[in-house]
Amino acid sequence: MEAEKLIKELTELRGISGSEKKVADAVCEIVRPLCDEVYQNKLGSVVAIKHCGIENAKKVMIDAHIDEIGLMVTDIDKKGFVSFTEIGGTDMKTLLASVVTIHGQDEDVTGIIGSIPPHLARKEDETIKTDKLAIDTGLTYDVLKEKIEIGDPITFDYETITMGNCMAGKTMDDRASVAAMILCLSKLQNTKLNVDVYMVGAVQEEVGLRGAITAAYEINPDLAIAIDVCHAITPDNSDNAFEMGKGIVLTMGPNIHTGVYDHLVKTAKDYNVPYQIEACGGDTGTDAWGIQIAQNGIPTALLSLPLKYMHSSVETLAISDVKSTARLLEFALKEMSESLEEVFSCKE
Amino acid sequence: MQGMIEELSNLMGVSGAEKDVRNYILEQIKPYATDITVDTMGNVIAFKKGKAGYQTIMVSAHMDEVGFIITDITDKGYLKFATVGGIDPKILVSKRVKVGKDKNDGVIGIKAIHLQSKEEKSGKVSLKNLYIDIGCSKKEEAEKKASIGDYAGFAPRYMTLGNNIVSKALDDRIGCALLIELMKDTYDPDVYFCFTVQEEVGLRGAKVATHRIKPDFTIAVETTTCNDVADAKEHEFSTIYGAGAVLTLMDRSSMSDAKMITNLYKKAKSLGIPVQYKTLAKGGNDTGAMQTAAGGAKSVSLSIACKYIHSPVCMANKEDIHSLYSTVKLCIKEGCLS
Repeated sequence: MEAEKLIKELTELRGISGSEKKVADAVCEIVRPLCDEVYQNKLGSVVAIKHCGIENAKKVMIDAHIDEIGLMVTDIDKKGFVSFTEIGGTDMKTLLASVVTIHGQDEDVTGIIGSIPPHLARKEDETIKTDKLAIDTGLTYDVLKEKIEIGDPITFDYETITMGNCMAGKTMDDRASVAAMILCLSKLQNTKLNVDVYMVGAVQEEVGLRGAITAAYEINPDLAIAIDVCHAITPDNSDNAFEMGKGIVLTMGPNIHTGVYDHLVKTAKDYNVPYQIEACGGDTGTDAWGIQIAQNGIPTALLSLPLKYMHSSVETLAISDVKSTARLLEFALKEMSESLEEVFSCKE
Repeated sequence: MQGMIEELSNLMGVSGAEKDVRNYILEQIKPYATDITVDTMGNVIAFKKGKAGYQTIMVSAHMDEVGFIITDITDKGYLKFATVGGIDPKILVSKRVKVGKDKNDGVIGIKAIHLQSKEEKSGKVSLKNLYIDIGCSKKEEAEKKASIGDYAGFAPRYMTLGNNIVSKALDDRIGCALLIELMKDTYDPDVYFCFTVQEEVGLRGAKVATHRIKPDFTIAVETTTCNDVADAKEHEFSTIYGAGAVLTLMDRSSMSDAKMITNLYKKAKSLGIPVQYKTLAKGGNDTGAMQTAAGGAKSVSLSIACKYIHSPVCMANKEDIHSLYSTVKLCIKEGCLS
């Protein structure tokens, strides 16, 4: 399976938090040949299971979220301008002069978010007034009201492009991690593991980790590894950020089980997978935070892909980091024993 | 003609680097011109001989578009840039661009919203904080893809939305396409069809072209501002979108000849061609140069109301394009009714 093609395919799917059905269906189709069982649970998360054949095998959950940030229709005025609210933490500053798709019940409508031209700019136009933004579909109110209604989801309408060793597009957060999990499963296709693997494509991460919390409860795994994005260093920020293209980021902190962490570090060292370490004093803001306290508590670790311009339509990452993540997951799973003793007999 | 607008709009031709647009136009107009001159600045001056005893008319549209020029390459391989022509920095965040002659892909990003300070979140965007990311991590790597002085433009993406077209550079490739189309007809006066350079940085191409031609009167075929948009009050509108060709009485750069423009308005109305006056004296176009170059000429500005002008998503109404075509043709044919 080719990483670049898979990342492009997954990131170009559309599904804001709460409307992930099409994404879930597509992910199911891709993983079906790679696992023994695949289904969508009550909230809509994808669960793909690869059994090892051992009776009462330990369960290892790997998780990345399939939802994306976006917008939602709040009003349509008489001239046909569509106003909206943001869903999941969209930076409204990224929206001027961009192209979006409004997902109506039966059809999609393309629109653009315009602004007052510089020639006519008024004093108050110096800053972006996010509550004044509107979508122009080029359609009249009468035509438009037959196609869309208040509450319809809106997504960015942009292709994913490759720039040298990087890719840029919408929803690298977190479909690039979904791609890493799928690449890992495809590598493991003919490998006999000692544990059952539950791959979860979780819904509603951006609005409160709800897919991961419920999937972890349902599966009740013996350990879990969440994969998400972290900030990559850019010219305007190096705080709380990591080098892109220098490998996966392993997080340490209260959200992370030391044994699982040590297992991942050892695997990375043994197999020469490049990695960086992030120290996080509390909430990691990822599915790992929700998974850790499901059921009786689940030993959890977090892998993060360094990502530039998070929550925009030009999220940029290194293809090599996605491949490293897939490799680390692959070897970490291969190196797990039937008892998971090596993970749980760790030093504190 | 829409196919031609699409092809023209997709070309990159930032002010000072209009070559691709020029070559396309030269190819298109060859069969219809008596004589074609490309002057020292790069203006295309296509002459169409008319009958004796008529005045000389200059009709212009500008080939250039707003964009960027690379001013520096950082140690980490990012490109710093200046704008070429008037661009609101606020629209640049998260936009896709093409860099240099090879049209390498680039994106303009800013730090994630999670990392922004309260002030940064407030919505002010300063050009000096922006940069283009072309997917390189080192200066040496970036220097293989771009050099200081390279031009960059908005990534092309032409769309049809309902009865409208959306693209970068509709300002003024619509005008260019209309001129090419108008050249296919014959006219009594001598007509110079001019495709000018550097309008966006100060009407510079039109000035020298007018000096060379010394026309009796001039017509600029342009796109003009339209804030018939969501967040504007009606008294702030400069033009009404979809209401026909725009006749400019006056803007920051020029005054149309009063008699010519009012006669044209009446004549167009009587023929059922939708026309409107621009109701704000803001903005400017090549008429500013043509009216005063070489001793002066009577001038009119004829435009299309274009929403979100100077952005990657300029929007124009298909029927307005047709109205503008008919109005310009009427203006040439009737000798501007002077």
